[in-house]
Amino acid sequence: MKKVFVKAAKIAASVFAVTFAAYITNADMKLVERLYDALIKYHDSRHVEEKL
Amino acid sequence: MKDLKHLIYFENLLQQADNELVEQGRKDGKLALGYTCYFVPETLLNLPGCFSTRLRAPNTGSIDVGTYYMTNKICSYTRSILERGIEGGYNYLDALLSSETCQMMHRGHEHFELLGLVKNNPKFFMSMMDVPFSDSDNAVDHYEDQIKTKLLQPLHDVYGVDISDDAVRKAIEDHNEISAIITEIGDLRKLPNPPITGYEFHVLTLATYACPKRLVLDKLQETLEEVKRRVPDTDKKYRARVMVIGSEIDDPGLIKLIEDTGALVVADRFCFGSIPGRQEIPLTDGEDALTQVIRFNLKSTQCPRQCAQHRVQNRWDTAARLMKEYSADGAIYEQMKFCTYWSYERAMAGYIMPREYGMHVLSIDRPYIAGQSGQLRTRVQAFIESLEIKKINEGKGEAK
Amino acid sequence: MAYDPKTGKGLGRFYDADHRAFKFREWKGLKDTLYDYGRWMYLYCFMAAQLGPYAPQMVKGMLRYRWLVPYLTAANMVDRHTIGQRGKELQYSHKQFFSVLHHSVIKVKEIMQRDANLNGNSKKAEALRNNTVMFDEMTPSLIMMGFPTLDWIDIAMMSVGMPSEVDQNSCVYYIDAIEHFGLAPDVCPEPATECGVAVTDDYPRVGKCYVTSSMPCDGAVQQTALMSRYLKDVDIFQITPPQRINEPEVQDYAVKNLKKAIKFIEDEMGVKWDWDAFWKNAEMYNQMAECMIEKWDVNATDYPQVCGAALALQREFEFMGAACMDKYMLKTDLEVTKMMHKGYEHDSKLGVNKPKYRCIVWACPAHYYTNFANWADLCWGVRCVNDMEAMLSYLPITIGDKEQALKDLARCYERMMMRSHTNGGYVNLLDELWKMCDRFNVNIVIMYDHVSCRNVGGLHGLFEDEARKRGIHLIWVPHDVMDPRTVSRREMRDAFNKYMINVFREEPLDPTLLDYEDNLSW
Repeated sequence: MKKVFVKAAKIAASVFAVTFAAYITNADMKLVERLYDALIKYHDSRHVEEKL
Repeated sequence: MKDLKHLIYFENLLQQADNELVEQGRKDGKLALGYTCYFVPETLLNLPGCFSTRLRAPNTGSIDVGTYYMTNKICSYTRSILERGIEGGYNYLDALLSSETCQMMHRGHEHFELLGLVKNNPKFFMSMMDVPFSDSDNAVDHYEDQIKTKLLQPLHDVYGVDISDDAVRKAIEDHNEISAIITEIGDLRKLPNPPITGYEFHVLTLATYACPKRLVLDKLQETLEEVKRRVPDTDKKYRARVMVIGSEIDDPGLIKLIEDTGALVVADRFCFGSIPGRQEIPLTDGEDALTQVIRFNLKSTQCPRQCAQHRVQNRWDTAARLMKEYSADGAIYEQMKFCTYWSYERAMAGYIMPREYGMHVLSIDRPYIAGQSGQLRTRVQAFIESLEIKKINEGKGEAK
Repeated sequence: MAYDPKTGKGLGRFYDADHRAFKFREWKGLKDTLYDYGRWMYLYCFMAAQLGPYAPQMVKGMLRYRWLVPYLTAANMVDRHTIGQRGKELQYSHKQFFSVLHHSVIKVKEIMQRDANLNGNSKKAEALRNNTVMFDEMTPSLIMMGFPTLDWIDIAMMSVGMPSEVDQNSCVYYIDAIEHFGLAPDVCPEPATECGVAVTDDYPRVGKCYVTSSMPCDGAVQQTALMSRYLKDVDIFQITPPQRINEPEVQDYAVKNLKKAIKFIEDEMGVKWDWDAFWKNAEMYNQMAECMIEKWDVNATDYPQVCGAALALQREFEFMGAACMDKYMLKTDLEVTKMMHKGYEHDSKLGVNKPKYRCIVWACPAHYYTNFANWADLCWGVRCVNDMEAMLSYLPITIGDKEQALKDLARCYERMMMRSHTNGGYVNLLDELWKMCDRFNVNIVIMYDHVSCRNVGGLHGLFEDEARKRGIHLIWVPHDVMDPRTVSRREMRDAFNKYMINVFREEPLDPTLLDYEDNLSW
């Protein structure tokens, strides 16, 4: 029981550390920026027929 | 062609809003009722004892004060009206009948109330109606309520105007009389070599909007007879027949500019033009005249404000029908710069009319006073040339 | 205070001229940072839970729809609105914004579930579409209060309205598209963008019929005409409430129009209006309106609590997006109201957190700069205690009286966002401003000068004249609602800075926020 608890605490701590690092460095939005730029570039390259 | 006898007279009347006939009307004890929008049924402003005067601001120069109040993103027609109002140019009005149709003009009219622009008459009032967006029975009922509450009742309460059914019928009769003349003159433009130019026709039509109708009636009648007898030049002087469609044009200089490039304006489908505005209103005895006038108004308007699908379709179909009736080679869709309604209508027309109706279209925007615009002249000239070339090519094609 | 005069470090350091994302997130002290982190995790977990099962459609959607891409930046939207905030202010913002994002994420999910463009021949998606009514933006969906078995999606809100507030550059492509057809560039970009989405065929196809309206202005009227052409394969109804909204004579017409709208939905969808459901939803609307009024009452005191975008944006979405039928939003409202009262008691007892300057925001807001009021507070200490757009419909719907309830519902439509003050004559726009200045005890008005808006622009000079007479500081901040190219965020800040420096002779609370480049930022 104690081993399970310790293991869970270690996992939780790791998750916290990784996610907190991502949060405070804004890594999530920096990744999103790359995705966003790539997607917008893709959309810019598409030929879209404009019609009424 | 020989000059029309009364053309200069009518042109002079258009040089100011408070012209000699408006003054005469007031001296005769009639009420001067101002308005700008087609949605305000003109006929009802010509009840016994009243005359309508559709507001213009001719010879407008600077509109700095109008711009201070309304900013430079408001159409110059509205700002010019406000400027002229602030200068005291509409002091002759007894009432201003308005509608919350176009955002800009309704704000412009609010200034008449807020700034007290009509100082001569302590009884002056500005009244604003709520206008429906369609021509359904529901819309007619609503608008009838509005007209009664905001137009007829105030005229009756403040000035004792007779607003009975008989009075409305008399006003319609007078409207129909003048419309019959204008329509008969206008129909002559359908001829292959019309005895009247678009400019001349616009001057006549404008005079009927800007002046008391009964005071222009006799000269209009004479002009009709004159035009019927008029011998057009044997060589057609124009290169292409065009219809002008769009927002308000109360400056005949714009029509002159178009015709100076070699075009003949054969149909005037714009505000302050005759289509709509100078058609006879059919009346029956089985229903209130007021209801019939309102229904006619809502069904005949070509204003892009009516956004109901069938009304949008009606505008395209009407343009196509008029093109055919007047044998026009092309259409000039024009808008007052900054007009939201016509911006969209023009953009759609530029796409839809050529593709779905086979119409040749020029799409332009312009300031309020546009008669001297070199840029506009160049664009219209290029369009006329293209119409000419198309006609030549079509002719060659037929010959083969 | 987020600015440290000793080190010169301020909030401006987070902006990066060459990137869209902030350089890093703000350390707000241990407690607030952990709270902020917790909310960030919660947002991502919520998004993952809702949208995860639709990952294939989301990928397909992002490749199909340009407007869907900005939704990736949801966390940044929260960051923009919480930067510099601490304690209860931070908590208010998180709660308020999360309820907006909560609703939006669910709506995105619903689009993924049923969009014909993303779901091919799926019978399940087709069945969902057949049970869904599509709405136009600026057409409140309150009418769905009486149709509990139907779904509805505001396709313009999701493809135009929300993206424009999440990403300042999201509308530019669509504006250009409609201008290729010759639409004048001086018209309002909002209906222009909606038309641009139509001409590029970028609307999701998620419903059986479409309800649009003439609201709020001339541009919307025209957009309706174009949309009717675009969606010619579905049946369309136009809600066209009267414009002279203060006048009792027009209300019968308004109700008749609404009844026709109800009949349209009944006929199209094969269901009947349910009065029991309507009463329940009307109660919810009334409760939400009551919460909003309580917020105003507190903000009128010396210790305003829920201010700026946290107040305004939430109410706008609650009404315009969720039609006051979102239970989560009501739950949030009640929680925030409780927190707010507690916060007020604390501040008033101790005499703390009084704003340096108080202002209200008037006229149509810049969608591309929703956190402008927050910036004004952080940079200059000017706290926005109310916003004209938040002052939309708040009068209650009468429960139990069917005819009166329909009149009240019609009144809700008449007084929706962007309409409650711009229609009905100058008394609603001009005179009402001075009353609100008195009510909220402000002598500063952030006057949004929407460069394409004829309605407000038409009274510009009168605003100036009256403000001068009353000693009110009218700070005109130009913008072009959805097109940052006309007036950038930086230019908006500059206009405000000039007034504070030249007229108030003030020094900024955070000099690093005075001038910085953020053209690329979302």
